Amino acid sequence: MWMLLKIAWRNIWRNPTRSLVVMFSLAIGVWATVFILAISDSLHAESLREGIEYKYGHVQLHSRAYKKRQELGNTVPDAPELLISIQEAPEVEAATARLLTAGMIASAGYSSNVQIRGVMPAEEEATTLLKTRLTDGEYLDVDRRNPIIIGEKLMEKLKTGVGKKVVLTFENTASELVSTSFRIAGTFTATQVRDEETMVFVRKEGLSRLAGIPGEANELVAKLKDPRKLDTFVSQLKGRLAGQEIVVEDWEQAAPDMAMVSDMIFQTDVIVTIIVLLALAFGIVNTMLMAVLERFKELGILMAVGMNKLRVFAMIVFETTLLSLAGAVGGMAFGFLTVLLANYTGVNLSLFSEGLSGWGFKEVIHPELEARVYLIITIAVIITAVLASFYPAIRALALNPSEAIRKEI
Amino acid sequence: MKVIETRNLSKIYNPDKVPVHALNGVNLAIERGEFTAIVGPSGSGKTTLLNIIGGLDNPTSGSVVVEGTEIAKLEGNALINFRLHNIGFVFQAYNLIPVLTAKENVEFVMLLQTRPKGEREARVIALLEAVGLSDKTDKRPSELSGGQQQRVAVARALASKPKFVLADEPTANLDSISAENLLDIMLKLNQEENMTFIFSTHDARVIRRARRVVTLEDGRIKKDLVQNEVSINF
Repeated sequence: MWMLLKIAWRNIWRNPTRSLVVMFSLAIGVWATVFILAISDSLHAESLREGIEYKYGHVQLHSRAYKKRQELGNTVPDAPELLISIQEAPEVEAATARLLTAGMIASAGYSSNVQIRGVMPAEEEATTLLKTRLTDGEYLDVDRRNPIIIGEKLMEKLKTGVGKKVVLTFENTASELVSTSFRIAGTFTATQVRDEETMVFVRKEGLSRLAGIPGEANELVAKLKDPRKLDTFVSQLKGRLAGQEIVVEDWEQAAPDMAMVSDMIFQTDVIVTIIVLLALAFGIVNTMLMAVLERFKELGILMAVGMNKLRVFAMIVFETTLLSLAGAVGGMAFGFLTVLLANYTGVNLSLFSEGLSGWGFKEVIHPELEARVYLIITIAVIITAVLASFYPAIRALALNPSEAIRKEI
Repeated sequence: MKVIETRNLSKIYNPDKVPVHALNGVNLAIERGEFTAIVGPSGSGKTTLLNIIGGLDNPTSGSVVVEGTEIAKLEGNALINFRLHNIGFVFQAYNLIPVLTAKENVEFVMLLQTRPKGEREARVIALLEAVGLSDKTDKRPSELSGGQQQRVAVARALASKPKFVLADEPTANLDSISAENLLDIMLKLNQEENMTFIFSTHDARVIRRARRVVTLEDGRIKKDLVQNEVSINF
């Protein structure tokens, strides 16, 4: 075994230029895969974190009626009591209740359709990142009547500013139009442009009173201490609320668009990895086939002097695997250092920011890659190398020693 | 005691197209300790005969029996294993493994035989000393002259303790001094270790030093002479 490895390793260096070209191309392939996966994983992780921490939370509860028709009156039964019980659950870090409805916002000269989100300021702050997204003004806990927070884009659209008045109009539970003036307490920014244009935040207490359903909520949101316990918590909660008109969903069910992006990114990662590995495999097969054909005579001699087919096969597989590993390890190390550097400096994707922000991505990302992904890539490269070595090895086994010895090359 | 016996050995290449009769009913018996040259013009069947005796090629008809084993009946790894333990090969173009040193080339077949390390090392030293290369153990083939490479090839052929050594024109690529040296070594090993050597050759110097000379022509044995007849006829 040791001698076979020694021969395989030395054979690699018989044609150093060719071997170095293969190693270099392998290294570039692995490096590119590592870097692309790091960027895509980081974008994905960032998008998920944003979606979960900013808007959806880990778990959402709605009434069945609300899931069918998203109307103001379709509230969660016994929402205040349910919220307290959820907040007291050991798995929960924070929870809040919201009252959501569609409406229209108008400034002195402009108007726009919006989703009005009535939130509990303290609970929302503990559950989501809303307060951290304020870019100007104050949060909803300001001691003023009817404060409202709007997105920067919406503010530009309405040509208004912090401290100015806007009028919100929506339909209450009695199907009557309610119009009330609010004063802009602050503005927020969001990674998703459409959120900045279409979402406004007011206090739930005031909104529910105006809607004629004081204290009610049509959405409960919980943030867990350990997201890995999400499935267990959701199934426990479903069990507890079985038979009630309440739908419990995790973020994937509550935000299918996020789940779709998540799946799409995973599929893209897999496709990119497969394409790179296939390209590497063809390169490996080509090189090793050439190496085997060049050494037909030598392989014949080895078989003539008593090297059995299994050993010849193993020698070719070792040679291919060592060649591939040398390139892959180099690419992996280079990839690791690049990701480390990019994580430190950040990668500016401003060129694509318009498109990216629509999907909830930031302009500057700090890529990182989990250790297990490095391990998966390493294993994938080894498997690819071993599989790629089979064809040249099988060709080597097919040779007849006496014919091979007679060959002139 | 017979080491090799060929019985009515025939080999036809391209039997379905343009048949070439390389061997036509060759009957040959080789005793232990013989130093036999197979001679004849190009195309007379020398290499084919050696290849079939060495189990590198199959006869079209007839059989080769090596100490009771009919080797044409062996296949695949069984045949490779038989060669590993019974036959040593020396090729015209030396054919050492270029990435291994002289010492590693000689040791290689013993590794394939899974012999213990101590035994391997002792035998490598002894064989390289016997072929006069004890100072070249760590040289790769590219660092050795043709004659030195062929001496390593002889040491490799003997390393597995074979029943006989087949050498296909071993001196063809060597200058006269190297050829003489190689013959001295082969004869010494033949005499001291009673090793059986069968080699094909065109070289008159080699033929003169052979104890038996078998002449092939058109795939048939034309003459089969022993030592005292050789000098008269060649």
